[in-house]
Amino acid sequence: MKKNKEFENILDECLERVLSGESVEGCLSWYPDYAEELRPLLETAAGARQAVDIEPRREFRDRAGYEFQKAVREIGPVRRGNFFAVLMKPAWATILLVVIVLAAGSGTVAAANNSLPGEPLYSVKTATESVRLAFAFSEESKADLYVKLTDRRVEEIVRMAEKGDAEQINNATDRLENHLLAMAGLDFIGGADVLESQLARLESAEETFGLASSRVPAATQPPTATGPGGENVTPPEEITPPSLAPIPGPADAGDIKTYDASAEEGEDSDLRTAVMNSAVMNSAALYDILDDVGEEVREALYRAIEIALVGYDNIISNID
Amino acid sequence: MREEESLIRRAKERDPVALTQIYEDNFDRIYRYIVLKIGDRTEAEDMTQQVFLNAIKAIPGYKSKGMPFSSWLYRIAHNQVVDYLRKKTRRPFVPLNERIESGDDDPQRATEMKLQVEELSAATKQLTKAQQEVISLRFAGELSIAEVAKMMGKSEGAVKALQHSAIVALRRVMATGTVQ
Repeated sequence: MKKNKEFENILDECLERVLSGESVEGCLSWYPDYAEELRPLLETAAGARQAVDIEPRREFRDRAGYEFQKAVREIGPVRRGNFFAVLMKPAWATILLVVIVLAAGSGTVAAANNSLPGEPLYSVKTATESVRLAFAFSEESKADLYVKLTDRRVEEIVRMAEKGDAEQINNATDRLENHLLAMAGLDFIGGADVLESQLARLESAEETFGLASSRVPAATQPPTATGPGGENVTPPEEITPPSLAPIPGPADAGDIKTYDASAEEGEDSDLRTAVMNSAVMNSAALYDILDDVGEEVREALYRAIEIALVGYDNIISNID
Repeated sequence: MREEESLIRRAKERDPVALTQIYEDNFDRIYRYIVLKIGDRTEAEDMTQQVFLNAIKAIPGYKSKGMPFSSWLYRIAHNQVVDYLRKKTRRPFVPLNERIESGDDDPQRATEMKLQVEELSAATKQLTKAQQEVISLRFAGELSIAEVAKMMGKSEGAVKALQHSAIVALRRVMATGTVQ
């Protein structure tokens, strides 16, 4: 039994070599004791691999590629949530809008607008936002709306941090990330290229964040405690807050200034100003709350800050 | 791994760049897998195309479940093959190529002959379903033992044992035309 297992392991190792292009003889030279038993099996495997090493016909490959791209174009990007995808069809969207306008009169939507993640009316709030996005027909109006929505998400993150709810901070951060990605993907900001670069940077930032448990910059370095014997005790597993700082960080938090666009020119300067202001205010708000919360939500808050910094920076640097 | 996660996340949003990359990375392997399963290159072309068209539609609902993404594509391809074989009028068993079935009992000589994929496909049909799957995924799909194990819901040791028995059986079929 043991011998069988050993042989199966050796056979598999040799197969890997043969499938990677090494000759049967080359593999056998590694295991001379098993050569007699291995040879016929490896020759069969090599023959099978060779037989199956075929490529589709050129004309088929071209046709299939064309059909695939056509299908990708026709089917289009996913709208978030199947439920909303249905609702966003023109007829449903109109009905929904009327319902929402009527509901607004009764105060439901107004109440929902103040709701927080996890509360019963929160789904009404996000539904209202989806409808508003669906009816923002120009890219500029979509961008304006995304700026407002990112402000809302940051406000929610701060409120959830005050409550000590790390899970809802992460949920709101996911939504914040989606808004920032959607804004980056707007054609007049840069479209797919900017979206690609933003995704890459977010990935890299999250990777840094995940591995950064030993780096704590001076601005947020916890005070060194003194142990019973007078020795210095550094709190373990402190997590590094993001320090990408393309946008004002903790040092600016006490003196928040909105961005002065007087020097800006061009048709996108208003949007650029709005994004800059949003970035400054929101990053300051997130850094501020760090001082008032417990350890249980700090990691989630650092992630939120990281995503906000990367997202805003990428958008700002691509609005000309 | 993170690279694949990012790719899949974008593909789930039906990002054209991500979808195209998935298509390019997997197209040939899926084609080979299907050819080996059905032994008909022309049918395999249409079926391969259909696998990717189905994937575009279904990908927003994809969930990783700890498996490599390609295993999801192979699952779609596998279902397509099963449907095809079910619909296809049962044909009489086509014996292996005459030169292989001609009573040449020397296995080495048999495998020295240049094997065509159609012949290999016919030969694998005489193996058990599990053996067929291991051969298809390993040789045509180019998946590792670990990936095949995850996909088949078996341990790596069990897949290695299956791989061993599959090659032994395949060799016998190649030599005699039947599993002994």
